[in-house]
Amino acid sequence: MSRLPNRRDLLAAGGALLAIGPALIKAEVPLQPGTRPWFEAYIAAFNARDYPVFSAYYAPDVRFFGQAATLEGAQAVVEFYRRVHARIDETVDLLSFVSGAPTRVAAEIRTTLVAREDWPDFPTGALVRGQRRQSINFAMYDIVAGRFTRIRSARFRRIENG
Amino acid sequence: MADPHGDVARFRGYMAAFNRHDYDELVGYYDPDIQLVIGNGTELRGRQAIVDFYRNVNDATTRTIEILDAFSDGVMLAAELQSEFLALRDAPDFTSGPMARGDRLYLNSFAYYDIGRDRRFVRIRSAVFRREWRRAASGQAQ
Repeated sequence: MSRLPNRRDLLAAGGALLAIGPALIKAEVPLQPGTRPWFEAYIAAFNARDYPVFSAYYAPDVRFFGQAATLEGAQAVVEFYRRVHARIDETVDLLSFVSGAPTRVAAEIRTTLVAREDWPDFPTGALVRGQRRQSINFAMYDIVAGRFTRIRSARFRRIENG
Repeated sequence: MADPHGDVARFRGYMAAFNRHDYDELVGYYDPDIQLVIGNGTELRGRQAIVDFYRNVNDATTRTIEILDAFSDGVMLAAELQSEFLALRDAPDFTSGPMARGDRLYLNSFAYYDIGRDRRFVRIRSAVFRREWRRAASGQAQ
């Protein structure tokens, strides 16, 4: 039966692993759902527009209550982000993180939007090309079997032209 | 869920004191230089300012807070709270909007409590996720 490598395995294989490099070692150890490294990997994938990676965090029937949309289903969430990212440069920064692993995490997230074109009917307020808008949101993520089943975001602060 | 420093248990005691309007006990949970930032933009600093604020809120309304979830990593505690405000009299200047006697406001909010070295709260911030009014005149949720 296969198992995850433990510390002794890693030490025993030290020279070879060091030669291979830290990236592979990191890749060999799965990130535990609900932990900060696991969540940071989600944020990094989101900011890199790595849709296959960040969408893998969503359960097929995920319920999403964001600032700009309420959606149901992983496909709907991904399609929503594709539409947004076609017109807006969006970056999220993780400011605070509290783990209620393995079933829930709380995150304080700063979202920065920069409009690449006018979007007069953007759901959280009209945007004109080049406009930058920031907000700080408190989000709760429910987790089942390592995937988000519900995402809820509450606006804490909005920073116009931030 | 892990609670390595007893923060969640302490938080439940804090909320129980809040719901009893036991301000003397409440103060003991706050760092002297505590900062409170709530969803409507109100910012307060210091124990007395916070207690005075809650006394004022509780003068016109009764507020009951239910903890729906809470978890802590020892540095910060995150909570999902359900608050019910009941207007005891007309409160045209109520922080979340005018209330008439008998009106109820339900807030579902997410809050962060930064925990100091002595386990007291040094900063409290909350954001409203859902807001629902039940007006006494109509009996309908809004």
